[in-house]
Amino acid sequence: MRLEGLRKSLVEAASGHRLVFHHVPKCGGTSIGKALRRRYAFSSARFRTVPTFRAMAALYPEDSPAVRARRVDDLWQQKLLYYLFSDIHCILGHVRFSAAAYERFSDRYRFVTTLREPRSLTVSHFFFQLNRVGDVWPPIQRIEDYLETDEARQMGSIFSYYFSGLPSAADPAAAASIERAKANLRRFAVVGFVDDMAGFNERLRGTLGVRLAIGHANRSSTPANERQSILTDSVRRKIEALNAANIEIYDFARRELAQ
Amino acid sequence: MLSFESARQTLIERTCGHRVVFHHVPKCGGTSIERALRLRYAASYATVDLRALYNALACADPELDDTRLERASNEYREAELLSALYFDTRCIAGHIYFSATAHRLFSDRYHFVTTLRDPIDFFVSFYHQMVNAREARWQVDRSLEAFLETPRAELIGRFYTLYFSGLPDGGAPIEESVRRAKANLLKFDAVGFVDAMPSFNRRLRELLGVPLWIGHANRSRASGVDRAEMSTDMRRRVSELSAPNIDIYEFARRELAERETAA
Repeated sequence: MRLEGLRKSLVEAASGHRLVFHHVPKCGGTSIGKALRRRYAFSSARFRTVPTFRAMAALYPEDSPAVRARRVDDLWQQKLLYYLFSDIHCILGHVRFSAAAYERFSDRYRFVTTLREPRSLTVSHFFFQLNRVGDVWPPIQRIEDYLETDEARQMGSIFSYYFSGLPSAADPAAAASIERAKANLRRFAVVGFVDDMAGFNERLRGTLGVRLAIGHANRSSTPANERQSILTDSVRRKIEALNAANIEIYDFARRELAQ
Repeated sequence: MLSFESARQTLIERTCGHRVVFHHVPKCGGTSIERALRLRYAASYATVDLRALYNALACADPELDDTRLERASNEYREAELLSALYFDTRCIAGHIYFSATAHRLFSDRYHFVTTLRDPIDFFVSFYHQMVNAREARWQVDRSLEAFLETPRAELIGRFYTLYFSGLPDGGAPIEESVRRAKANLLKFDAVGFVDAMPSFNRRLRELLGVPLWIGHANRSRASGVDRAEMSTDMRRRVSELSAPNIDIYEFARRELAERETAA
């Protein structure tokens, strides 16, 4: 017991304020996650994507990819609460906002996230999926084909999906989901933006009491001119249409939550 | 320069033994084994804290009744077991039920081990744990005699089927659950018995190929009713309730002791 008391004192002394970092894919979270894990080395926990997808494929082999993704997300919302009840100081990963977690723990934890300009997010995700683990997510080579997938459609409403607090099967593009996502984002201690990581870090320091050394992980290996060259007018229009929900939430956040 | 990840891998290779899953049935001497494993496999270890898990599941859905809560808890634990296996965690230990899927996919790389206890001692010890439980969810506030007439007493009497049948509780007739539990126990690399822990500890060290310092934690505190003080009627009733556990335990003692002797 004395050892446990000592461990807790060490964790308290070495860590900043407790936090949950909701890492929306392709929103700069990998670099932030690395910095957080270093800063909260004595008490941090995350969500491991590939092992969990493989576990769910083994346990529920009949699931479609969309159902499997939702099953993982549902498990991780439970796991978020599990970590919170375990008093982990820094919880970070691809986990959706949980109203139950917020209502039970917002007095002890700061809830933090980052967003990215939605069109840029789609392009970034297209290039990212080309190099993902092939047995879990087969890559799609042409952006025109990628934009027709369920995953691209899902990514177009990812902000609503992450922050509405609704069940994973709810339609994230519905107006009610979008409004709930906006309302929940207002509850966050810090909402950062990928194009202003310095500002995000500064606000994080104010809320957590620690400064992070945020690098730039997951940098795309595709040159900028090549990334631009795939964006024909029709591809741009398609991206714009797919991202209607993301754009609405992003514009709201920039307007109202940037400070 | 050595990256953090390669340093971690080196530490794992140098300190951990053979990969292992320890299915820790409560009140079966497992706390000492878990502590020893946690110390030895500190660089790559996973477990599930049941108190945090049940609080999490009840908070996520306050409408869950006991049956659905149990099912959700078992699904979570199995998913966590598989995730940890796919992550190549070297030691996974805790109150986790046997998973046919996990064993089928990973028995070539992992040793699966567990311990059992004489079912009457198990029952009485479990009862005392519930009397002293800090969590309201697991508390019992009645005498052993009164407790024997509750559904929870029946559950304790068939507890080994929960851990080893690979079936959800109530998902099959009890005879089938007992049959499956026996068949699954034969798949384990080591099954220890509380009254013969030194030989299990030796076997575990051999299997894992590393030293383990196994103490004796969770020694029972002096408490209300112990086995010797039970009336004949109470003892008979505990035996009746524990029929599934007894069937499995006697099978394990007979078959697995023979296997060890043959080996």
